[in-house]
Amino acid sequence: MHLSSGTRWMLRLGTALTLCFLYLPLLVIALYAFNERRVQTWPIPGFTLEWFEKRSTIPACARPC
Amino acid sequence: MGPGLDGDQGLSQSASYLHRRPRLQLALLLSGPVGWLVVAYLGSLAVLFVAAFWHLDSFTSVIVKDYSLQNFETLVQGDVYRQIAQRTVGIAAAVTVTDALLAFPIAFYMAKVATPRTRALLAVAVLMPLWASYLVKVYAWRTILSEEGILNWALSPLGLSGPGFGNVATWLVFSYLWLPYMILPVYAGMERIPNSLLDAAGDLGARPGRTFRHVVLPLALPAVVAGSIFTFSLTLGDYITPQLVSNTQFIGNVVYANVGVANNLPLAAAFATVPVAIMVVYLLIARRLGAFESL
Repeated sequence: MHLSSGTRWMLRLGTALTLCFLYLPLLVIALYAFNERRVQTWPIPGFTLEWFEKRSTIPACARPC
Repeated sequence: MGPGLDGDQGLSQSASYLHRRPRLQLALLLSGPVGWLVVAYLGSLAVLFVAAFWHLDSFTSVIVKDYSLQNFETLVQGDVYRQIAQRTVGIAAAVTVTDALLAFPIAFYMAKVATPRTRALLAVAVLMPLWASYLVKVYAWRTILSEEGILNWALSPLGLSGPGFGNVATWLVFSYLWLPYMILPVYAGMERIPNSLLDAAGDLGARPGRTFRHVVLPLALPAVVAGSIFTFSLTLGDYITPQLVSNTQFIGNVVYANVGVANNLPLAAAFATVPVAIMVVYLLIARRLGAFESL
């Protein structure tokens, strides 16, 4: 179908905006998985793998809880 | 003659018996699912309606199983209940409009502009967030919107601050949660619009805006209404998001509180009939607009 390049770019922009809306919150929550502190502030004060370690070592969490 | 052979014979006999009676065959096939629908689904709805006309004895807190309109009087006379119903319906409508606006560009791009490869990728990208847990997504928004959250951090250099928790947050989170349910039907509806119609509009001199208003929009409207059934009804029935990102109440919160803490099941049932009634009217309108052909 023929569309002017302006219209095409507007559509790309709208698509990109909607995708950003869908994915930014998921990205944010994924980042907080590495948060050093238990308080959810931004910017994240420091990064740690502690929670992933706990996830795999504490027996109660190692199995699906 | 062995017993196995006997069984086979019986089976083939009953098979040919059924073959000669297609109506009986159909009845046997449908009795299971229809029975389930009537008992589990319509049955529970019927119990809900009956319970809505019971009332709680104010002295003994015992449910009186007599027919009365007391609950509905309470609901109509109480300003709080009216406000809550208005808020629920208002936010559900706002969410539906927001999702429709957000869905249009991506759905049109997927259906008419993207290459088949990009289209498949976008379809996956739209569906993927549905795999993430509802609660994880709501908590993600909680951290974003909180006082110390990312939104206030991003807006503070501009001298602005985010909406915080409240009705705006509820609207935003619902719009986020149900967006895929709007994009998919709208995309399917746009894909059914023949390219030749769009080309014809262009050949006859219509600018993109005019083609959109007079060709795409009317043809995609049933699909938007189909999507709106999801966004509207899912918002109408939810009670977890309002609890997590605001301190205001939805109809669902009142129902929850009355079933649990207040132990006033009849009032909960009466209030629960409000969204059911709204959805019945909504679905009747949706049917007139041809939404069911687009599902």
